[in-house]
Amino acid sequence: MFSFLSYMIPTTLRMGTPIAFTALGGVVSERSGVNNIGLEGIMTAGAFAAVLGSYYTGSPWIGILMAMLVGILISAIHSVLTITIGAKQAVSSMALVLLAEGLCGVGVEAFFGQSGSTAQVNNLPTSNIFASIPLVGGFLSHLSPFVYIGFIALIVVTLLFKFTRFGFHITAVGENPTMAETCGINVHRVRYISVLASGLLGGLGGAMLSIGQMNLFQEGMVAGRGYLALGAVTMGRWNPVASYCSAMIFGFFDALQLYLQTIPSNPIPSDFIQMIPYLAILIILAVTSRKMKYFGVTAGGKPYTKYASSH
Amino acid sequence: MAEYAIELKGITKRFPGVVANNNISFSVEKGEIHALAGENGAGKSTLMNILFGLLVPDEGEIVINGKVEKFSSPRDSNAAGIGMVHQHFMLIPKMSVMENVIIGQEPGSSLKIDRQKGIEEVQAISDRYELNLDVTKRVGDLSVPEQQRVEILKVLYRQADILIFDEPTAVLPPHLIDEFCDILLSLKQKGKTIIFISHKLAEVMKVSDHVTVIRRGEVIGTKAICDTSIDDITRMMVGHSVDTGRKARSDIRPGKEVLTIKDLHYTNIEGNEKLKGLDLTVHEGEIVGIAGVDGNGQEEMEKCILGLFKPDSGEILFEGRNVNDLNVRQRRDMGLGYVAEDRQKESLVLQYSVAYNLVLGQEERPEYSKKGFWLKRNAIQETAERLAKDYDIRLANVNVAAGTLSGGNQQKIVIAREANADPSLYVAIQPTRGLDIGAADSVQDTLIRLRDENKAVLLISMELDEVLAVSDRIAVIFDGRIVAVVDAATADKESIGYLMLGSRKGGEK
Repeated sequence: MFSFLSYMIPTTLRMGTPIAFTALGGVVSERSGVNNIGLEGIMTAGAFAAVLGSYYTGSPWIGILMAMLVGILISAIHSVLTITIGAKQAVSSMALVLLAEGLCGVGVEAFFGQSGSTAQVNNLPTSNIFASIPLVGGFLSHLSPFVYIGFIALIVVTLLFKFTRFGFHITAVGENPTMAETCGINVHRVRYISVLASGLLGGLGGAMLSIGQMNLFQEGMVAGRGYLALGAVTMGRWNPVASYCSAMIFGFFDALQLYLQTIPSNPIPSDFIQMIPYLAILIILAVTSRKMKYFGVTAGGKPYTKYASSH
Repeated sequence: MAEYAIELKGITKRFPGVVANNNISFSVEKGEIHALAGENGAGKSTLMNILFGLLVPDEGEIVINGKVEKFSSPRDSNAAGIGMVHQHFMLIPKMSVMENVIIGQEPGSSLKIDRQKGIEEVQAISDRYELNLDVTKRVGDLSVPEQQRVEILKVLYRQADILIFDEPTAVLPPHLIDEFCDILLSLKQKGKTIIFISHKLAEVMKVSDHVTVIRRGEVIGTKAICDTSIDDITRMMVGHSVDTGRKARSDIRPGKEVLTIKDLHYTNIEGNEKLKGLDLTVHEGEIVGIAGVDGNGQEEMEKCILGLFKPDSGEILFEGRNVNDLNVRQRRDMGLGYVAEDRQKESLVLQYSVAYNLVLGQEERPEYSKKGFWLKRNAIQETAERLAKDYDIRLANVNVAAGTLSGGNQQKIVIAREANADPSLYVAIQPTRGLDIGAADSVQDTLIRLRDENKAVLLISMELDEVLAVSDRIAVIFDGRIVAVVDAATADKESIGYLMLGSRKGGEK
């Protein structure tokens, strides 16, 4: 039992945190009324940018910075298209996913001269600064710094919505943009900042996949985690803490799947075992989505045109 | 000379193809209640949105407290002390009253909101103006009149001393209109200047000091209330006088039962029992009006009749036949005409042409399609042109999109379509809501005509005056039951009002 737990806890955090980052980003963007299905693409670009940054500077921390910047950049495209121009959010998002995946594929060839995956770079698998702490130091230092950044992100986003003026405005804009405008809130500005913030968090999620869990970028490595993150947002009913925990539930099933694969002479084919996280999620979503219409963001997914220009 | 809070000078606003406001000038004295009356589409809302900063006028000048102002957003008008209580509430149901009120002007530091202070400040305003609100409650849990008071609170919190009310009584049940008028008067007493938009003239007469009438984007005149009368204002609004009393009808005896509802029970998804044993009968050749305060089971009853909601128990008989197991289409084919409450969402496809909308739901009938597959476009066109003429639907031609028509003409499409299907039972829910006097009159005339043609008509309306004017019998609904059925010709408005509130005082079983 102890060995099971000592495997499952860190692995859950390791597998869940990338999804959790992106889910927190999803919470911020969706609460403001902008759906960002493109988070999948933002994660991909973030993962690649992190490797690129680490490759050229030798510092994975610069990689993280690059991932956040690229995440912001890509979501800026989404913002302009959906908020200013009023394009369909789903279409713009999907285009971003394809764009990001395509660009990263080309990027792998262009920068590394090989296809499929990049060269290995410096990464951040452990947090050695905690090693000297007695008793728990070993455990803590075996977790990637990303896990701790994830905690910080959770606290920041929670405080944002709980206490701050801006978080309050995000919710108002997502619920009733016309009202927010009549109360003197700049709807477009709030939505822009929210979407950019979701890009930053999505980029971090991607970076953890490439330089937190591994030390390279592989095409297809995001493998739908951006969509899982959106599932976590829905499951968490747009609440930061609950969405973070939902992401960790996904991480748990991923960890379970990995654990089962390590059992020797397991009679179940590994293809089936790898289905576990996805099956679990479908079941959880089916159960938790009942009566979902009482939750959600009222003006979610609807472009907003300023009153004066729409009448 | 009186001191003016607002002076509008030559305001003109053009939209593509229409002049919504044409050279509008009038003045509002400080501390008065000034009514702005006019039919729908007369340009009242445009004018108020200009005053509120949501729209920018093409020409003209706004003078507030003697100072020329230029508003480009609600923030500007707010700074000049103008607040607006919108007809369609601008509220977020999920948030508390306090949160709804402070949005955009939250107390606290630039980063953190001081919620405790917010609660105290907002509660203090509510108490001072006797709005009777618990500011920590969720807005979604409040009744419509309470939500309206939240809107008022919002404006007061922003320290507005000029308050614009956009058709505030349109959303209120009749018995609460007096209470609302008291709030207006108390605001006036505390020194606020109020612009009150309405086309319900009884209220206008009751609370206002002056009334300005607008017709087709132009000011017809401003009068002191003591120098005018309802008839006078009506004439100014519509350009001719309209009979507001009980509608004339031919003298026929109700025939056999068309709709019979027996002991109907319905529980909604939240687990609230909304219908608690409702009984109702509608005969051939009569109009039964349902009088009641919104939310007492009208919607559930009407949706059960149509077949959208499945009752828990009880029977709905249609010409003696139990229809419980029939779906909406089958019930419609049995001769059920249905005018839904929300014409834009439930009755029309706004992007379709008027012609298509006029046969919507009947398109599979042999008149309009060959073998139920190929549309007979010529037949549809001819029917549409005939209906547009008969029902006075004003349009360039029947091929324009229904969404381009005014609300009154959209409603006439629905009324005409449902009547043209030759129904034996015609159910109309709030058929004149939001219509101007002329259009409402024509809709009511259609109901009477159907009745005179020996159809059964069920009218559900929140406007007691309408129920009284149109119905033969009035069934009062309260808390999921029909609590009384009275003859409309001899009915007494006050006792029906009591019954609607669940009191038996003065009522008869």
